[in-house]
Formats: sequence, structure tokens, C-alpha cells
Amino acid sequence: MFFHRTAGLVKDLGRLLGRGNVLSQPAELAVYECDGFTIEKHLPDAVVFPRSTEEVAEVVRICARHNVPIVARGAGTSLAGGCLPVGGGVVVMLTRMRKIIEINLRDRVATVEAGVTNIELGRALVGSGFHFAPDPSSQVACTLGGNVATNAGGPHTLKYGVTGNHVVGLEVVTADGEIVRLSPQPGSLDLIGLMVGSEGTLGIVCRMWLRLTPNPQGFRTLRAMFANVEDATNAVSDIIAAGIIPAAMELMDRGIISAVEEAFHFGFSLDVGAIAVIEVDGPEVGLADHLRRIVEICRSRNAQEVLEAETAQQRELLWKCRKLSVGAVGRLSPSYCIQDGVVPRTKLPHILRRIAEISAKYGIRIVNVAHAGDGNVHPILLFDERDREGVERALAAGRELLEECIDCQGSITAEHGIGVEKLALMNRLFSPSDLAVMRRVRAGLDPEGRLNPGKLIPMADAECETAAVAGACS
Amino acid sequence: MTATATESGLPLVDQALPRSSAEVAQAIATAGQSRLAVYPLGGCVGLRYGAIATRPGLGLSLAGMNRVIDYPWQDLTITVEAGITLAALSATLAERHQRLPIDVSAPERATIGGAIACNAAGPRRMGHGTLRDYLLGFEAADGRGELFRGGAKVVKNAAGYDLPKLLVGALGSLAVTTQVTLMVRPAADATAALGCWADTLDAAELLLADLNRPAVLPVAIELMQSGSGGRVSIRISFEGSPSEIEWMAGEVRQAVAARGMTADALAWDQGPAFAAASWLAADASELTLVGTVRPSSITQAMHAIGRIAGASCEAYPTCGVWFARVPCSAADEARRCLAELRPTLAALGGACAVASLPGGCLSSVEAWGPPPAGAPLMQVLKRQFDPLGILNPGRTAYEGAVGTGQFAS
Repeated sequence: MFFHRTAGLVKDLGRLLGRGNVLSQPAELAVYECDGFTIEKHLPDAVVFPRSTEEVAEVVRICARHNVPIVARGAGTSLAGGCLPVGGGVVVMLTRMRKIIEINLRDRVATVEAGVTNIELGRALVGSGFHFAPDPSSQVACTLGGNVATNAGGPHTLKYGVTGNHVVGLEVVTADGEIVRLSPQPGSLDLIGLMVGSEGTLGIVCRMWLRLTPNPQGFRTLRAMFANVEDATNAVSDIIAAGIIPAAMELMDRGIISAVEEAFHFGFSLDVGAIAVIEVDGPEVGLADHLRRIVEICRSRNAQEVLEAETAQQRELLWKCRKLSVGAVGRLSPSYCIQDGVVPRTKLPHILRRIAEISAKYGIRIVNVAHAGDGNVHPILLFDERDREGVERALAAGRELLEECIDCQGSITAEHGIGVEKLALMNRLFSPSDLAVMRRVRAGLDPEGRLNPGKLIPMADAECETAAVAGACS
Repeated sequence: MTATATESGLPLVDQALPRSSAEVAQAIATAGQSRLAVYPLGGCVGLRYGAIATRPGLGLSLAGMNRVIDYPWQDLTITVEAGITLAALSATLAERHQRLPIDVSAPERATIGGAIACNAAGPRRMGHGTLRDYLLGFEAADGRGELFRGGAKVVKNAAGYDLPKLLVGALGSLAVTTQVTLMVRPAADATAALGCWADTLDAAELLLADLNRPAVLPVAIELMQSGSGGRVSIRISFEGSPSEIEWMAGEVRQAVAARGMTADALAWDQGPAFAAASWLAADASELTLVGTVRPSSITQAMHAIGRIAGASCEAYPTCGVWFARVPCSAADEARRCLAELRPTLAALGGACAVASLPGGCLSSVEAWGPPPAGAPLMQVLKRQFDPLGILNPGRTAYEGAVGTGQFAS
């Protein structure tokens, strides 16, 4: 896509925001040419730092006058290239809009600006008895606006849902520079639900009203080791079949366990095929019983070792191996890609087997963590980004494993979003009529196609997308 | 005409009873060619929502499409045709000790497609959420008569737009669902309910504030008041293991006693009363209202409703949802009540929608109140899904007068 620009864009932005809040020199802009998806880069025309919804609206109107694309960006932690300024344009940074406006415990709602980080809200709620349930692994950095844009999840989604289940209001700047405050209204359309996960293509979210969740009274955590992944995933299925919905069920395969062992020396033996970290929460009085039932199930599925935590310190210790997983990979490989696929839970053993086959086929080491409760697998592909041929093989391996997810009746992303990374696969996941409906939604709310172009929904001409993705490595 | 079509009260000139998604799509396409409206029909439980339908049209009944398509129970999902009743769905799920934990009026008649279109919910929305939290994916026919799918079959998905959320509560104005994939939950281990009485709404409010403590996790709290100034009945329902329920009920008792009130004995195997279910499903000889408001303003809303002679009110305070029923035999009596109530309720924020009014609502504004924020965006989306404007035209809060995009008053 090409947008024919008019002159004076940077000048107009500077007049509105002050020159100090507008970046336009190439050296300054380079920082914003990619996000967590580092293999593709695009230089924007300008990067701006508005401080209010009204300023964001003005920026959008200026961009409309100059016919340039707009890409909203928070912390830039997107792993799918959601913040890539494809086609150039103006990157609208929401990071200076970071006030927690109000925390209302009686109504269980927090009002926050889009640039507040997930962890900042968490810290502000410590001691209140409430928390914001979506807790993606990037929460120390990612913004709540970004969480809304991607419908972020995390390890607790089977019991607590994803971001979209916790948004009760949005203040949005639409493509024409108007400000709209959305709240649930009977007899009308759930625009809040539509906006969450729309990856910046339907409007810029500036302020959110977020539902707060009561803190559970207590937790019980266990870590179980299994000889193989089938036993572990069968245990997970048995737990659910028994009517228990744990707060978290994390799975680590042999590959990631050996990576963690190599990096951090926990003392795991070589014949551990899978580790499950399972946590239940709720009233204290019921926890011992829930835990006992889960331990019984794990043992019935040949768990080799089951460690239980009762204190907060023990709990932290049991979680440590899971939380250090990505760090371990980082120590072992110059580059890595955390993929995100989802299958029906019962297909977890199958997808992990296929991933092992794909790993062998392409000669790419792949280690796996999974949010086992909801069938969300994160294969981590290890490679060296300086080796072009290796990168190609890694990309091909990633594509094939996502195609397998589709063939298993799953999806190509559970929580990271489509961005640019998975654009081409949208044609495989959805039919032409499905995509036509989504294109109409987008065309309706963004008729000029300037809100985060080149993301989420492939254009009708599939060739454009394939070229963009194939030309990824620079 | 079938019984369903006759009792619908809609201006039907034709009817269809498709047996497949393709037939649904064809019926819509054909209706579009003749510029007939299309009125999707399920159990006909929620048909009184919105302004009176004036445009002659086709009654498109999904009652013949009620199969279970796929039930991989270990994945906690089920895919069904949209015409399956909530009762039949519950029975299927119960065989695997599972459920869809949404309270819907008249479950033997109400279909899942209709429940989704109306975003039907009851008291247990406090603990379990609403249908927008359970609809994972769907197949539907748009206003052009073209079939399309949205969402996914898995419990977590971030690919593409969250179209399932867009369809929930849309009153069939964007598309007619033919198939849905739902997330399900395990059946409750044990259930119990505890009742108590507050002398006044203010006393009830104090108790509610006390109960807003995180550890106490009832699945539902219902406030009920008949007549102004009367005692307020509070019913608190629990789900969980017996020991969990006993502990939570104990905490509630302490809170109740601390406020000088008394509570009944804990009643096992009981749940929410859901009195409003009968109001919503009853014949329309009364004024029935459904409203939303900030949770902290619920008792103020109930004060306002209580001032209307003969009014009964039920509320789910933590959800900010209330229902009011005023016996009115005549339409002008009902309109007088509405004119009295609406400004007060509007001042508390939130919305006040008419669930039934003798003779029906004459306009969108009468049925729903002023158009919602974002209505112009909604109208744009409506045109994208239904360019001819034939799907349940003029019934929603966002379209305004039929076909004009202007808001009748």
C-alpha cells in the first residue's frame, strides 16, 4: 500500500504537541522501526507523544489531512509486529498517557489511561483485595492499551478469561478523529468487544474502564514430573473432566526442561519428559481437598514426583522453573521466536508430537511451554538471526506448526495476535467469505485504511501480503 | 401459520422453517429480493424488546435446527445449531456433568440463538458472567443471505475480529446465527442459598458494602422489593464444595449479624430465585423494565422504582442490573410511569430499557431511551452486514427510525 503524502506533516504535529513531543530525525525514528517481532522493520515518518485523548484526536485529524497511516504503540512488546509502521506514517506513542485515573473498589472498576503498564495497575491494587486478572508474561513492560489491542491472556485464562472479559468501558479515537466513550448498552452493538483484540485497526484506545477481580483467599500449587508429555496432558484432561478448573496449568516439555537445567541447574534428571505446574485458588477451606484430588490424578497418570507448596515462598520456588523458561532459552540461543498456537486441549499431545517432527524436518531446535488448560502452546524456536538460511528454516517451521494447529481445529494465535507475522495464514484459517465480513467491518470504521495498515486482516489481493511477509528478513 | 409465528405479534406475511444453514441463507436472500424484512424467531421469548415492528416481513424460525453438532466434552466446548432450546442444551451437558451457567427465562422455549441475540442473563452473571464470555465461535447468515463464520472452536483465540462479541445482544440485526460454539463449565459441586431481610434499602446497601469483600464469593446476590418502603429481601446463592459453601455462608452470616439483621438457615440444593424470569417471559400486560446502573447506585435506583405505586423490583447489585415490574392495564398509564422513572434513572447513569409495555413501544427512544454513544459507528456496521436493512429492522437502540438513521422521539 502506498499513501501519497502531503508536505508539512511534521510541522503540523510540532505545532500541536510541541517540538519536544515529535521525533522526525532518522536516527530518532530507527528505535521505532520494529517491536518484539524483530525480523521485519519499517521506518515511520514521525513518532509523536500525545498527553491526552484530545491530543490523540488532533493527531488523527492531522494524519487524515496529510493522508498518512497511523500506528498506535504502547511498550512495543508485540511479538507479531503489531506496531510495525508498514507504509510509514505516524507512530502514536501512548506511553505518556499513563495515569491511573480512579480505582473504585465498591464498583470494582479501575479507570486507566492506555499507557499504564499492566504491572503498574497490579502494584496500585496491592492490599486492596482486588487485582486485574489478565497477567501476560510481559506484564512488567506491556501497557494495558496494548493488552486491549491484542486481547492479551496469560497463564490464568482458563479460570479468569482474557482481557476482553474484563473491559467494561473504552474511550476511543476513531479514524475520523472523533472521541467516543463506549459502555455496555442494552439493544446495541458490543463495540467494546469488537475493539478489544482489533490490533489498532478500528480506532485508538486512549482510556479504559477495567473490571477488578476479587483476590482469592488462598492458593495451593504443585509441580508434577512425568516421564512423557502424554501422561502430563492426560492428567490435565482428567483434572478438567473431574470438574476442577485450576487457576493455572502450565506444561513444560523435555526440550524446555533441559534448557532450564542447562542454564540454571535445578537438578532435574534427564528422564523427565514433562513438568506440570498446577495451581488452584479460592477459599482456604476447600484448597486442601482440591489439591489432594489433583495429586491423586497426577499419580494415576504415573507422575514420578509431585511437590506441593503451602507457603508463599514454596509457591514461588515451584513456579521458578516455569518463569525462568524464556530466560533459559535466551542463554542458549542468540535468537529465538516465541510462537503462539492453540488447539483443543485434547489435541495437545498430538501437536507436541508434530512439533517434534517439524523440528527434525527443518533442523530447528524447538522447545515448548504451554498453557495446558486452554490448549495454548508456545513453541520456542531457536536460531541465529545472523544466519539467513537458518531464519528461513525457522520461519518455515513456524508456519508449518501453525498450519497443523489449523488442521487440529485450533487457531493460529491465542494471545499474541496476528500483526504482520501471521497475515498470510489468515487466508488458511478463514474462508474468503469470513475474511470479506472482517474487511467490511474494517472498511466501515476506517474507510481510508490508514489505521495500522498491513495488519490483522489480509487484503483481498493475497499477493500483497505474501510479498510483505516474504520480504521480512532485512 | 405455526403457533410460534402467530404468537410472535410481528407483521408476518410469510414464514420459513429452514432445516439447514444453506436454507437460512437462501430465505434471507429471497426476502431481500422482495425487500421483505426478516424476523428471526427462536422460542419467541424476547420478541417484545424494542419498538413495535412495523415492516411486513418473513418469520424465519430456527426451531427446526436444534441438533448437537459436536460435543468434545473434554475440551469444555460444544457446537450446536442455533435453534436448540436451553433446556435441551442443558440436558445434553448434564450427561457429562457440565453446564452453560447462564440463567435464561423460559428455558424450555428459549433457543440459544435467541438468548445470544438478547444477551439473556440472570442472577448468576455475578459469578459466571454473561453469554459474551461463553460464545467462542459461530456460523451465521448476514443480511445479504451469505454464510460466514467468526471466532473459533477453541476456548482462547486472538485471530481476527472478535465477531462473536459483536453478535451477542445485537438482536439479530447484523446476522442470523445458524450454529454456535460455546465454552461450557463443570456442573456445580454443591449449591446453597441463604436469605435475609433488611428493613430498608439503606440497610441493605450497608450490608452490600460489607459483603463486597474479596474472600466471600457468592455466585449470585438478589435484592427484591415489592411496593415502596417495604422490606427488602436479600437472597445470596453459593456454589462450590460443601466446605467452601459452609465457610462463605458463615462469613455472610457474620456480616448480616453485625448489621443487626437475621438470616434464614442455609438451604442446600437451592439457587437464585430469579423472580424476574417470570416477569420477562410473561404476557405483556404490564410495564416491565430492565436497567443497568453503577453497582453503588443500585439501591438509589430501587428507591426511585419503589416510589411508583405497585411496583416490584429485583436487582443484582454487584452487576448493576435491575428489573422493575409495574402492573398497568393501559398503555398511557405505562407511559406515565416511564416518564416519571426515566429522568431519575438517567441521572444515576446507565440505561433503562422496556422489556414489555401494553401495546408495545412506539419508537426506539421509548423502548431504549436515547441512542447509545457510538450509535453512528453501529449504524455503519449495520450497513456493512445488512445493506438492505432487512434483519429485524428498527428494533435496536442504535438504528433509530426504520431505514432513516434518524432518531424518532
